[in-house]
Amino acid sequence: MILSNTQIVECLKKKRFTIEPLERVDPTKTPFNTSAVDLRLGEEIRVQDSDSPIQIDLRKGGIADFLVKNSKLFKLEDERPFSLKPRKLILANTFEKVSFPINPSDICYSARVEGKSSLARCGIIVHFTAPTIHSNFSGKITLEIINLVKSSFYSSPKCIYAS
Amino acid sequence: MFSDELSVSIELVTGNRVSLFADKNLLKDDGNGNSLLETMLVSEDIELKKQTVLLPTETFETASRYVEVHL
Repeated sequence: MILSNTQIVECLKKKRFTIEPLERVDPTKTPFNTSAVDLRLGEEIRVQDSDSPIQIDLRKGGIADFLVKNSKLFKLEDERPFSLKPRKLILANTFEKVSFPINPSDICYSARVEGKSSLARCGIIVHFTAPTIHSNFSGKITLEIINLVKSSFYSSPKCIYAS
Repeated sequence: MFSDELSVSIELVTGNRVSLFADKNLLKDDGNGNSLLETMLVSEDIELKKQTVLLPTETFETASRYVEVHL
């Protein structure tokens, strides 16, 4: 079942799930669409080290630490956007934090996150796998972002990247 | 991965270790230098001293949110 904008607002007011911060909770105004809520790019991105020849082996464990050690964190600022080079992958997170709690005595919700088609038409693919935000998740959503075209693309914080 | 997350490593009943990133709000310090990750208990087997818990996100190594851990 896909919730409409008014149903999403109803759930937010009843704390069935949370999306924070939201500029306003009016289903007829941004960030609400008819059946979605727009999500903004957060203020950090992580870029894999391109100089080090790394090999990832899921069987060895410790992948989370491995990814941190072999990448760099960049802080995005309005005056200093990140230039996403052609055919490069970065990881970013949403500005909003979401929470979909499991309440055994009530309906549980999950969500889908999808990159904006406007960006895809520019060759920027946002969140191209695992779109389901499962029940019991709480936090900012990590977005995979890849530039498929030959030109660089500037990423600035709080731009709408997904919904 | 990001400043509001921490890398978490968990030992399974099999002895294998799995890892994931979790929001800092889901982690609490136990006072002994260890961090405890908030999970949801799914089932437990007292005799075999193990529990199945639901993690907030799937692990990199098993691609699952359900894991079996020691009691």
